[in-house]
Amino acid sequence: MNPVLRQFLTESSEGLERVTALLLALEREPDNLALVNDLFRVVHTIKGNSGLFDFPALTQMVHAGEDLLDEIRDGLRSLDTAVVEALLTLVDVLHAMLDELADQDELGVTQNDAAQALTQRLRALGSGEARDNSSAVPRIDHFLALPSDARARLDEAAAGMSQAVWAVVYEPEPQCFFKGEDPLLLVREMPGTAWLEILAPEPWAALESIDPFQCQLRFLALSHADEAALQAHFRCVSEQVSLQRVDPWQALLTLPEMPDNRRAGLRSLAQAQRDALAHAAEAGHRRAIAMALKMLATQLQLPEVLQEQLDTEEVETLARLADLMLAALQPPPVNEVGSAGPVTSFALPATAKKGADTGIDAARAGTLLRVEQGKVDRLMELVGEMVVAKNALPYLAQRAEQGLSTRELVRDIKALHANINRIAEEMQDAVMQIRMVTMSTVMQRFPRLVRDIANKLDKQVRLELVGEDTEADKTIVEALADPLIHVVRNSLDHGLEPPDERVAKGKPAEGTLRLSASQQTEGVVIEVRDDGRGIDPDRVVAKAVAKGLIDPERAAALTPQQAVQLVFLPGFSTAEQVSDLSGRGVGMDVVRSAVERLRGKVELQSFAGQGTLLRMTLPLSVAVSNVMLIRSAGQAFGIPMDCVVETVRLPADQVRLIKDQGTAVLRGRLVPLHGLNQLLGLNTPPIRNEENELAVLLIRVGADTVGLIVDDFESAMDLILKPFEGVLAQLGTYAGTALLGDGSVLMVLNPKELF
Amino acid sequence: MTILFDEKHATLDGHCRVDEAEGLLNWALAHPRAGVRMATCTHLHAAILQTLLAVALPLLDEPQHPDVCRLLTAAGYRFPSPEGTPT
Repeated sequence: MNPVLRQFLTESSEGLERVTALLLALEREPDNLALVNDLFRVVHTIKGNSGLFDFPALTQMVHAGEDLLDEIRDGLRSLDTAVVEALLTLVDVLHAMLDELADQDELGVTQNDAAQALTQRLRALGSGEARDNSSAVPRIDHFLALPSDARARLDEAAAGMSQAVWAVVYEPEPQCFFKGEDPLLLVREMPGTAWLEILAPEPWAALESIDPFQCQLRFLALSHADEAALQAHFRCVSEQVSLQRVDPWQALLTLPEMPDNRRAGLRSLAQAQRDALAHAAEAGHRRAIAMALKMLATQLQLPEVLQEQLDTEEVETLARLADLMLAALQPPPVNEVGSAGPVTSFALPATAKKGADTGIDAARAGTLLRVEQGKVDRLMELVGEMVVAKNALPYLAQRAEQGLSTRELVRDIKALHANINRIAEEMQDAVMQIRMVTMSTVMQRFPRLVRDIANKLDKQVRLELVGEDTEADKTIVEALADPLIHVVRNSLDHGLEPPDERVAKGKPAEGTLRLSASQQTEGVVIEVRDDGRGIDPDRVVAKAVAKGLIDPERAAALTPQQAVQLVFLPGFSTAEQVSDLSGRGVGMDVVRSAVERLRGKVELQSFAGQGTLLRMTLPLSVAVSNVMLIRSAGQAFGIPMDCVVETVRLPADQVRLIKDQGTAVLRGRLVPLHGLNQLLGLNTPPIRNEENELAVLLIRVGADTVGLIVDDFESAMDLILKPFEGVLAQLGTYAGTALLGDGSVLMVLNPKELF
Repeated sequence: MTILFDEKHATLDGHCRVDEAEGLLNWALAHPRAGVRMATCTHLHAAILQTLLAVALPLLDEPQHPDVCRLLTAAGYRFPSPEGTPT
């Protein structure tokens, strides 16, 4: 991608965040002129920058927003809800356009249509004129000026074409020869000419009075070239040229009478097919589109000869028919500016696309990092130190050759290692610091989200954001966005009560939602706390039992706090309680697995009638894992330390068999035992030591504790864990691999997937 | 190239430029019964075509260049089609 475009996308995204924050602030203080000026400047900058590129719909839309803000800061218009809503929609549409540009480097029809609709809406809110005259000159339709016989000859020629063509009328301005133009040459070189006629005035004026240097010719043509090619060809004289698409099939098309909403519905169907055709790579895809178009054609009562054309998979034919139907279904040209229109309201900026489920989501991580220079400088210093340290090695080698004693050699190597180790650790830390971003990147989207949802639900909510400056690894922060949004939506939808219910309970009408982030020793802690109704343990238990997720006896034995945890069970929340907002049956289990994929954990506490608290704890770094080395069946494996509870040497005779399952009583609890070899399909029994004891690793798998029988334990170490990629990524049994100091590869297990 | 005049003919040869239009018009006014030859014309500026249409002198031969033929046909001239005249 063009680096200038990339920079535009980054800067404009940031600009949009600023715009959102300013709009929400202005909603509370509509008369704050400083904020209005600020807002105008940001929008003005975005408009200006967009002018570097060829996105006319985008620029015009932002220009309309800028003009509106200009009128507001001049006092010609007040900032009311309608304006705020329209400008928030501008943010949404612009966000969608920036995303599409990031993906595809150009804007599609849907985006441009949305932009045009919004431009009209914004202009309607203002005085309706462009504030400077740099935008489009009204276009003359040169077709209207044609004498009727010439028009008739044009139509007849077009009807004789086998496919749709562009009709061109070129009316050079009389002085054009003095500008060095030769219209005849331009017409001679027009691409795709299928038919041409040159019109001269009829009759000519008296010969003596003719000025040979005033152009009086007009040119009519039909071309097979596409619109873009024709526009490019005539770009220097564009206001003297009119283009019209003529399809000989058009004459066959007469639409039946239909009410406006039916027409609109059929039109959006046709548009959807037309858009889909642009991406229809596969034959099956095209067949599906052809079928949809056939149904549409029947609805429109298209003549047989046209309907037959739809029995094809050829993209050009399908596109031509779709365009034909679209043109016929155009809404009547009534000025309905200001109505809600087809502009969809995006509730959120598009969240990151998810890569394959390979450990940590590889979101749109090809993006940029903003880094303080100081962090990079520190890294540079450390690299310098590393260079010096490694330069000591050749000297050491030389001295060893010259006959250093082994003891001295060992001492010097250890000293060098200690030095390099220190530098390596500091470098690691420095790089991780560079990857740190503040939580504000995720948290800043919530004021808008909460405002929109609270408005939709008619609830009053105050959002408190604490700890936006808390830093965490970029990957984690980005991956947290979706789970957090889901949890917040849950709070707003199910947790917080409507104002009258709150008042009846003696609570303030305005509910409080608190989103906080902080750094603790165990990692980054993020809490979502609301003061709503809390989770009702009895209802949760009843629902879980009804769905067969837990059996009634176990359910009866649960404490209220334990009962609340049942919401994390997969399958707990399904379609029957889906509201428009908390999602498509996406439950808390998805939130939990997202957090656990990041090697974090989730805790939920609820106090009936008082509120709910959800706490997510995430590791500070994604890079380094603490892993315990174990041996089994003659191989080395790693187990992540955060699921290891303890290591135990268990006398073999303490193993009891309960229904074929080996168990033991450890620390007062009955723990099932599994041999690692068996789980991995290695047919070797575990080794016992001299005292006939088994090496048992107690690990935590979900909420349960399990004993894993191995051959031996070794130490715990810090490693850089590399998840599997490609085909191997589907092996859930392993969290990844790491390189040991002796160059061998350690396979690190993912205990959850062993069972 | 240019337009060459003699008593009975104006011969358009090669590429005929805009500034020759006035000369052509004046000559045509002085020689109302002359004819125009275009066999070796490779292009004519719009001003020249315009002048030819205005003075309406007969065409005595056909241009050999197919594009020139095409343009003249579009302007309404009719001549027996040599090979190379497009639709």
